[in-house]
Amino acid sequence: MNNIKDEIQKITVPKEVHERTKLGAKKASVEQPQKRFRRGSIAVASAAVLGLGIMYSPIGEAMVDRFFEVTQFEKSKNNEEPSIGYQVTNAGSSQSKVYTSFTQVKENYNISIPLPEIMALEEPSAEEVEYIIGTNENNQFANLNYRIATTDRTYRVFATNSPEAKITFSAKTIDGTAIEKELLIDDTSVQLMKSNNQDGYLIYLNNNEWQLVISCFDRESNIEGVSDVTEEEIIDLVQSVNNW
Amino acid sequence: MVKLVHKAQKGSERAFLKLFQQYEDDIYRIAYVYVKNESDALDVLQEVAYRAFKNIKTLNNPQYFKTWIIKIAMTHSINLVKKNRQVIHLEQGIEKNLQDQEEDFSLTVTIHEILEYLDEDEKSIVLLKFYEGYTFQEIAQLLNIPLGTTKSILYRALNKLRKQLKKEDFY
Repeated sequence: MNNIKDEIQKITVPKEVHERTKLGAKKASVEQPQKRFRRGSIAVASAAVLGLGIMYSPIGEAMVDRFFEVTQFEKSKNNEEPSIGYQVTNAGSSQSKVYTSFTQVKENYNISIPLPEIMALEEPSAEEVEYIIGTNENNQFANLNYRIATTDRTYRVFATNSPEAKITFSAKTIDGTAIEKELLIDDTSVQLMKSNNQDGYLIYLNNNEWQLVISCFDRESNIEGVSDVTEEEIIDLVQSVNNW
Repeated sequence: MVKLVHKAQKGSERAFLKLFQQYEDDIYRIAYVYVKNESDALDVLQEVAYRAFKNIKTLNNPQYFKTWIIKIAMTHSINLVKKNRQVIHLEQGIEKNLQDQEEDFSLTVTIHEILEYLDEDEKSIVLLKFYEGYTFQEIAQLLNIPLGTTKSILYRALNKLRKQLKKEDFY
């Protein structure tokens, strides 16, 4: 035989290969059909690590009804793991119905709901798909809880056009801190939230007609502090929202 | 891999990167064999990533993803070499059908000899045969040339390298 393979393997691969691959893929990506949000117009307006110090300061006490409340996790019978999530008050719904496809939703409710296109693309290969429609007494649309689970991700969207609905976020984390960032995407201000104890992000959007909570969490690993879900990934999800 | 290809075909950049990054070192080395410098090899790699993601919907059989990107890399590398050379290279030697000849691939060469003394066609077949481990049949299909020609080009390449080695010994 010969040593040709060994000789070719002697060609040193520079560190930049990874970056150059990303650049190539990114170029192809931006040439894809235009999405609702334009790429490249994301700005971090503010970033903060919220902690117990804030919550127990006099200012913190005045902010009990705040948008994102972070407290220290304490294990108890009813509270076994750190958590991050949101609560909706005045959601406008008194009953709910479950559907398995968006076609069914469209057939039953004549409404155009802003949803991430990426989720629609992932849906055919998803392991679990669920549309829960909340309706008022007159059976009119009030909100949607849309969830899909792929092999490695759980995506969720909560969407409501009820003007009275109020959404607040909370996290219970091991060190009592979490990340909250305000991002500007195409002049739309969104809030991004993350706990270091969970592999994923939540983003809140509001355009005065619709309020949306979009989340993406890793299904594969539960390793504390190790996230496979990137900020870029959740931003991509937001950028793919149609009808915004 | 098949799942990642399907995801990439649906537009997932993340899936595409996960997939492509498994082969990026190979693609870089293949490109380097033709273009012989780091800067151009990186340009080829970036272009291959771009073309592959842009056209991934046209890939009918996800199992051939690696073969497909190797072909893109070879085509683009050869185009770049020809463009840089600014002279059209015509190789019109008569190909002998060596199908029945006994296979003799024994040879000890250096990377320098591979880079410097083989033309693009020869490099393609040497890479596919010895670096990627394809069979003659697979190479013929991939490069869209007859099986006999594939063998001829390989023997020509190996003979060229042998002659070069003899010359070097002589001096």
